[in-house]
Amino acid sequence: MTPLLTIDKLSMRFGGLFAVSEVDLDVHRGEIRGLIGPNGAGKTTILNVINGIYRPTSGSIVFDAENITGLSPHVVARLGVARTFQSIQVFQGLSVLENVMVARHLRSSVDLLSTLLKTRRARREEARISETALASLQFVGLGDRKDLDAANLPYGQKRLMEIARALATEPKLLLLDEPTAGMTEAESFALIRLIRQIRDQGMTIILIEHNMRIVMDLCDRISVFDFGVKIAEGTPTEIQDHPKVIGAYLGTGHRHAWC
Amino acid sequence: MGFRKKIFTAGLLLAAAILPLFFRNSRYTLNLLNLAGIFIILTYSLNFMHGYLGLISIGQAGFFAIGAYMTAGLTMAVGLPYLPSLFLAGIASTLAGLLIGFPAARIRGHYFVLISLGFAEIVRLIILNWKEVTNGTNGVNNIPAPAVGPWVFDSRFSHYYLVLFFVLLTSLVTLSLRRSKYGRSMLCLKVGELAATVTGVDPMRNKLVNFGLSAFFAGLAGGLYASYIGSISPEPFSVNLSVDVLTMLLVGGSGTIAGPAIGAIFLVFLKEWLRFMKEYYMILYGAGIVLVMILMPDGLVGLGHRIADRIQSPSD
Amino acid sequence: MMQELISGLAMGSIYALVSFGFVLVYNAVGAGNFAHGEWVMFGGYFGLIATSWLHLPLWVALLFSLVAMAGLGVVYNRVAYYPMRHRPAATVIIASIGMSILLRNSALALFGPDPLKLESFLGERTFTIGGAVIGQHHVLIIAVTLVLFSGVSLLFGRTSIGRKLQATAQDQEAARLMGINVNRMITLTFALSAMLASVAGFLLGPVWFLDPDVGLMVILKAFIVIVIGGFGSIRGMMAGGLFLGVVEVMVASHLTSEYRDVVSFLILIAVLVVLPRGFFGEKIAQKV
Repeated sequence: MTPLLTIDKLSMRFGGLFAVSEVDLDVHRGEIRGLIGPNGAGKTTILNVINGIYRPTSGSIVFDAENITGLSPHVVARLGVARTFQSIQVFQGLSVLENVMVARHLRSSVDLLSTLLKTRRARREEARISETALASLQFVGLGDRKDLDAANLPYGQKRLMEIARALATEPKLLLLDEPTAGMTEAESFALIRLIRQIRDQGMTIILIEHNMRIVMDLCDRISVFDFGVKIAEGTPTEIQDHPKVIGAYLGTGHRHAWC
Repeated sequence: MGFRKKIFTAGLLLAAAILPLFFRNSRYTLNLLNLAGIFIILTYSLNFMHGYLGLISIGQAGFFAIGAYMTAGLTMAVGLPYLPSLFLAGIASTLAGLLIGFPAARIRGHYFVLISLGFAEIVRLIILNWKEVTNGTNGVNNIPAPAVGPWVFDSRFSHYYLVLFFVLLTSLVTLSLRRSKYGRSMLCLKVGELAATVTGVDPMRNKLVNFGLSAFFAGLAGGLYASYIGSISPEPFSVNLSVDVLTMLLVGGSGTIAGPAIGAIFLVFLKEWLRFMKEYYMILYGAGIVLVMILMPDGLVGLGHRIADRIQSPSD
Repeated sequence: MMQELISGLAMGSIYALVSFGFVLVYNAVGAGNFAHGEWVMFGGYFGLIATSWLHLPLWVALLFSLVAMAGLGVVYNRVAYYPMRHRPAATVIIASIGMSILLRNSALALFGPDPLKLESFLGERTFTIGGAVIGQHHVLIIAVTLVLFSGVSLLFGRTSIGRKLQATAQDQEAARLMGINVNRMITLTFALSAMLASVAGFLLGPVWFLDPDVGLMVILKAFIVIVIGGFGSIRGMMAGGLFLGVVEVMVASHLTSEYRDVVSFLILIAVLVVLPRGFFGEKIAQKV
């Protein structure tokens, strides 16, 4: 079965430095793939390239049988890739519901004039956008918060809103960059459950995480990076005892630093 | 809209409708009201760019000029009736907006200010020098007063209602935009362009729509201006006018529904009241802008909200 | 031809000098001072005050203007930048636009609308080279600009205070952590920028005459230079200025004199569109 996402010999250079160097990555449908490695290993850069935020220096990215290398972020989003960021991106000044409604715009088609004139067709589309967005919010448990100013949500709920927004674009692939960062133990736990639910509904997920327990628990396969290069790839068990991985994190011979 | 807001708005509309009746005999005040109305539309046009996309532009004079000269040209040289001329002038302005929009859409911050300036200056210089078409510094005179069907708006009193109509139109479009997907997309581009694009918002498309709207209404204001004053020349369509509009927007409160109107009215009347000071009033005007930026960066509307919040929770 | 070239290079040098002053402040505080053109104008006007009202010799007038402008720069910083230093750049830009209106109309009130001429250090003297008559003042402009560019570059690169200024321009927080008095550095930058404007005014006065609208004309051209040359490159600004100056003169004499400025602005737009990094590396346009 062909992978949903195939990254082939991806390199990304900034100035004189290679942030990512000749990386290959295959992610299969329905998989939860973890990307781990020390800070600066290039993991976020890889996500940024997939999304189209950066154009790679060399290499290619094929998603769902389409070459998406170098496409603009909004085009990539339309093709089915959604993303959350390390530092939560909330649209200030908009309500929680409106934040998620924005995600529906790429699936809507009513023109400007009709929209401004509030024709029946436009009103119906607006209602649909609103309903679908609300459903997404309810899925993550924020349904009753829909009219709040998004900037006023507590941190953990902002993250949930961001995920609801990403899901509302109807993606096939979800990229999560350190989703549990800054969350309490309980919030992380709930988020893990949510991620599993999302996957069980057929989503493919790439996850950057520093919390090793979560990574080992959640991911089907893990790819390990250091200094922009993939140094190991395998199931959680395989990775746990991999000497290169241990070395990358610790620089000495210690094991089980994350058990 | 809440019930109280509905009553308030209805009251406001009524007030606007009967206002000129009180000043029937004051050509001076009626003139100010007309000018204020035209500037309200201009300020709303800038509000699209700044309120919705956060872009600073000192180029509205360019669109204003295109609208003015096109309306004059279409009514006088081509002989089109007023409303179609006005509409086509707006379209011409929109096309200019899209034309400059293509290069400008990728540009931000200070560079955007510069490109807006460059655009407006190019328009002004072309109007100044293309004497065969625009009559250069001599300008175009005897522009006919607006005529819609049987009504001819040739008095300041009647013209006020024409302007009021378009002011309402502009504010309705602004309101409608806010509650629409285009408005939301634009606001997202303003506060988080990266996250917006990754969520599927097409920056180019939304910016072009925004520029188009901004240009259209500025052009519309220009057409009204031309037929109201009756003669136009390149002189008023300068950077100073663009800066005035920006000031009106910021003093009133960018990104709000009432802000552009409040700012325009306030400054048009303020300029008049300060006029007795001759050269010195512009000095105060400049100082005033600095003070407003220091003290009320959210404009009068923002100030109003802050006062209202204070009244509701005087916990200090 | 030679005459045109020198004249173009001279105007271009002035544009470059004005850009330089503008960019100094921009780099230091992250927002452009849109009243910089009026600073140039006042630099020249202070010279006029000194020569016409106080009957001082030209050299003293220059000193007077430098000191007065430095003072203006310091006051300006305190009044029109410092209260808003934590606000978004937009607020500062608008405030500087307000200041430009204030200064322009102050000049109008003080000096009237008619263009006035400032004397040059070299008077009306000319060289004659190979049949072409070249104004000495033009050559002076080019020379002075080159000297100032090199001088300020050296200041930034080689002196302790210069390095502190540079550090402040690059990263205020980091500079503060290194123990640099950031506020004082910013004040110094404003003063330096104002003094450069003063010199520009003195160079401009004899060739372009001084009236309250001079500031606007000069800053518009400076903006074009900045776009061509970039906010980050000193060499770029010099080259950009000279380029614009020469192109303007050539366009005016061989193509069209009325639409000369239209061409200049089209160059501005073209560079913004075609070269997202200007000619010298500053990133202008975003991919997204």
